[in-house]
Amino acid sequence: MVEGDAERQLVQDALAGDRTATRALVARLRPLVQAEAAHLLRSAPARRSPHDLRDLVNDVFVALWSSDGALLRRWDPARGRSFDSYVRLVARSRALDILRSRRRSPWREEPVDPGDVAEAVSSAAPSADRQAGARDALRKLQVRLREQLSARDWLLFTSLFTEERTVAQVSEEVGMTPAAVYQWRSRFVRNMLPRLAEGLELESVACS
Amino acid sequence: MTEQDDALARALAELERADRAEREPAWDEVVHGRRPAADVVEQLRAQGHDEAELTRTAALMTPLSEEFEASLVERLLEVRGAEAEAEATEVDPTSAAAPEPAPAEPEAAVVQRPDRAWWQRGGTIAAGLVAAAAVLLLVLPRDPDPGPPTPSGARLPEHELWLQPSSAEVRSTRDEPVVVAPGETLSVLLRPATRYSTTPRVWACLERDSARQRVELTLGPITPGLTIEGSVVIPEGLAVGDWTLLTAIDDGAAPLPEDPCVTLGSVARVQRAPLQVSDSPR
Repeated sequence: MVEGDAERQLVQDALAGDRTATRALVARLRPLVQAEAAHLLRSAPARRSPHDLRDLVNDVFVALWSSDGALLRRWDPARGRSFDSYVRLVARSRALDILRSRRRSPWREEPVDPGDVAEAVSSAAPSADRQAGARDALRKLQVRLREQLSARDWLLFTSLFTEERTVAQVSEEVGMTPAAVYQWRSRFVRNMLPRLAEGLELESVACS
Repeated sequence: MTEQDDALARALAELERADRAEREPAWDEVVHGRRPAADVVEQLRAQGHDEAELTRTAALMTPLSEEFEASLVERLLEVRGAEAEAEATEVDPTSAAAPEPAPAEPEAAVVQRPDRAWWQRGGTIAAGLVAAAAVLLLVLPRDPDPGPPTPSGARLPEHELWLQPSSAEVRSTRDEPVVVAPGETLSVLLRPATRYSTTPRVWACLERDSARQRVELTLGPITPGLTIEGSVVIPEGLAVGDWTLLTAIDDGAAPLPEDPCVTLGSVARVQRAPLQVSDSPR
């Protein structure tokens, strides 16, 4: 059996409504989804109870299973990413989306005082970061990014920039044409990022 | 694209990579059930980690119970069952022989989730929506266009329309219109009252004194039945004063009219939000 075939079969059977396969797939994915959800909740001080965790894990699973399980079906081992890595990536992007949509406003719970953001962020940041103004501003930007990017945008950002995957790989993985991925990359760098960075003193970061 | 912008993206990516690298691998052992949380707590405590943080992290990383997984399995089987049922019962409105008069309950054709409690999870969402009025303008679809809903519109549920200007400092209460300046981008969010399985078609118009003009609505990826996100750029040169932003949603079964803002009345699902166009947003 080719590597990945077992996972794909399990996904197919589970999404076809097979109870045993569903149970097996949930057992397989639960640690991955829980780990991603837990890491996100750790940096969200107001939402880190076990109850929040169960809700988030539940909702991520529902997102994975919805729309005929399109997200799970999209995984293809031929694209060079393991099933676990793919599930973690998708789970994280969906979890961010869900956390964002649960806020009192879809984007932000309250008008946020920059000082509060810094405090929230610095609690999850290494202590050395607190002393570096530019680094702190970058952390704030990271918070904004997590708060405001859609699941798809987050997935694209992670794949293209954080994981430095090629446009060809990313376009196959997310089901976009290479031209659309290039366009997104350009729009992200030229429009979305500067807009998110408004008001932050990031010159020294950008010039480094 | 400038080198400066690109450097910012790369710096952010580096930060994300650093965050990943900083994850304590021992917690992965815990979440997979291969090691007790207490062991890891003890190990990290000896390394000087913060006690309170360790306790919180241990609670988050302790594997969720078998009962939780069993209940999740049932939930996921329901999700797939509901989708399969929706696909099987979905009727193409264009093939209906003789359309009935306007249904009394437009949502009758909407696919209902078997577990409404999920959608209406706790009071938190509702409470959150109300409280969000301090930042966003929530406009309930209280005043749909006159006329009976068309079959295509009636297949979709009501949506709530949320608007947020790009200027973070702008505030709006429920009773106040959103204040925007020409050229400014307005984020648009349409949250359906119930889940559905049809991919919606959405467009937007600006209305003033009964005259309407179409405005380009840029949409993010749409998942049928989930919240629709998009944005509208307030046209440069738009007259200052009070306007209304309308969004219209249908299932795309019928061709879009040549001027879909003029014929909005034939669409059942219309949402409105007042806008105040100002030279400078407050």
